[in-house]
Amino acid sequence: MSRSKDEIMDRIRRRKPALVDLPDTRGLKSHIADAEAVFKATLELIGGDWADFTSIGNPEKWLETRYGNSGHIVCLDSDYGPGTLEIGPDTPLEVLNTIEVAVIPGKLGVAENGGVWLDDALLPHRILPFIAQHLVLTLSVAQLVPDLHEAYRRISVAETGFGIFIAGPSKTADIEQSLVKGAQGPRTAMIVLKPAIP
Amino acid sequence: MSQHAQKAAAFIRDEARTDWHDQALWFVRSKRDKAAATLPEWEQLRALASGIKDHVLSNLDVLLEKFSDQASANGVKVHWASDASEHNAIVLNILQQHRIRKLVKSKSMLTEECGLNPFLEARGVEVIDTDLGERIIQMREEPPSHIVLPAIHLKKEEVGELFHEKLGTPEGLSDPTALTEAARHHLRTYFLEGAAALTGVNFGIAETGGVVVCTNEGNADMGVHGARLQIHSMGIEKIIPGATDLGVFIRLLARSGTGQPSTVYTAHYHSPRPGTEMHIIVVDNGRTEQLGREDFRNSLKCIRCGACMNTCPIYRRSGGHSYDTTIPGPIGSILTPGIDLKKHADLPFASTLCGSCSDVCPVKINIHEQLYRWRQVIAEAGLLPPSKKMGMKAAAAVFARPDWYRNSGRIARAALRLLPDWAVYNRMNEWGKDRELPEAPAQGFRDWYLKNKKP
Repeated sequence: MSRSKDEIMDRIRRRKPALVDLPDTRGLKSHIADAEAVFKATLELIGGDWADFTSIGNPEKWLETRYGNSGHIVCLDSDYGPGTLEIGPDTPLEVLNTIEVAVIPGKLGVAENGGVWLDDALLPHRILPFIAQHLVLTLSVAQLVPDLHEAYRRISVAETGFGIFIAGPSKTADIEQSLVKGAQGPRTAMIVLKPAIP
Repeated sequence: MSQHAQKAAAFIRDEARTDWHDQALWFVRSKRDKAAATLPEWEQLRALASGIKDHVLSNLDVLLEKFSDQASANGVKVHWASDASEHNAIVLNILQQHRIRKLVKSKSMLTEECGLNPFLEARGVEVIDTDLGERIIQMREEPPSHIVLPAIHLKKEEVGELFHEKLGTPEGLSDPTALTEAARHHLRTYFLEGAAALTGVNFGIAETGGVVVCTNEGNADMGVHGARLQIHSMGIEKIIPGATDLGVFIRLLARSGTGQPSTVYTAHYHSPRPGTEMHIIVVDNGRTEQLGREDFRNSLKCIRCGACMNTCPIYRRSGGHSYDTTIPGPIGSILTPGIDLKKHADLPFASTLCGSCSDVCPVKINIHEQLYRWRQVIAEAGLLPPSKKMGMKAAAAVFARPDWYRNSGRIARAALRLLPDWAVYNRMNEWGKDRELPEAPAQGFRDWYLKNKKP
């Protein structure tokens, strides 16, 4: 046990106010009725792309047409073929840095912010969705929830060592408030939605 | 003139630039309004966020203990730092144990507060700030002027010149897209070295022992997941009870700060990748002292969104550097006097007390009321500048004597009419600076009332 910890704890105990109850967040009701429509509209607002799976034709061809075949494709969704590179936790960063597109199935999508949840269970290497030049996330409409409250109820953030909501492409407005996509991570983020199985 | 006023005076000397700065921030404030209006439950969220933080501050020791136990169980090494120097020493020690002399950093106001960069650099560690705005100001060797938009005070031409000098971009290039691309390549070379990464923390989850980091660029994740050593520096007040509380804060944070529904990346780190290490440093550095100040402890609820800066009429027209503190603007002016009252006694006066900061604060901190309260503390401590002290004394004397008060209006009106300009517009009269004093009415309210009141 560190001495600083004891001292900090001691100061807190002497100075903290009387206990205040934790408010209940369960009373919050979502105002979003059509999660799919809001999800798509939000993606447009935040500079993300979306497509319906039924409209892209042959997924493998679609990938090639859209992203060319100059760089590597890491594909974790079998609908889109095997990709051109297999990676694992020990793949060197220089190799990972040659990835043009990463196709990753998401676990859940959030309508209000366009976020898609990924975690260790879905990722062979944690850096994959950031180091790729372009990102394709695949989801079923059935995996959409209206807001973050519902999202946090559905996922367990500590189920794996790392989990993340990704909402659109990497971006910055640090130079004169001009929005630029492709800051340190992917330049584009495309979400392909499969219809819910009836 | 106070320090802030002097620096603000220097800032507004360039009128066009002042207007540009003012409008850039007001634009961000307007985006915040639009984002807030999309949620019918906005006020409910603010009340909940404030309530959760009330609970956190009243139960902080218990929650921190839980956080620490849980994080340790997850395989994370938890360290405790009473102050800035202990924090810095811990970071250095971890790096030295791994023989690492290079650190990629993502945004952290706490490490700014602790002066981590100069400390490490003086001991032979190269520190690379990886948020674009942070990298820009690091290259310029100046502090951030805003907690969310660190380089908001700079024009693209200035960034272009800087990048030409430091990164070899073509002379005269000032297109933000091209400059960002140059920075992307520059920073990737550091990410690919994969040595050590340090981030700040937006939220620490007591229930699960994890930390949450929000960025738009993805720089925190590029750093952390490439590194064999990840360090997260967290102030004790960042704790929240459980993951279900996160929804409330994530929904408020970016909408309040930049008007986005959320940041692009909301990362949850709970344990290191196999073969790597994860450390969390829990830092006090004056926070427990603020916790003991009943009138000011509320300021510890701050989630660092920057909304109070974007809306503040003083901040927008004086720039972040005029405050000379790690955290500028309204929230900084209630946090910093608690660290060094004498040095920062002028900051609570850098406000019109209009209350806009409190109105936009996502966790409902009564910022303008605390600014007012700090003024009283400063007066009681005898730290008012003489001009203010004399003015206050004179005003108190007049207000305490009804007949003096009655006459003072008459005298002031006559003075405004009769005195020559040099007697009104001189350096003794702050109110005559940069503004025309009003034309004096012939009659005061009291005289008018006596004449017109119904019998």
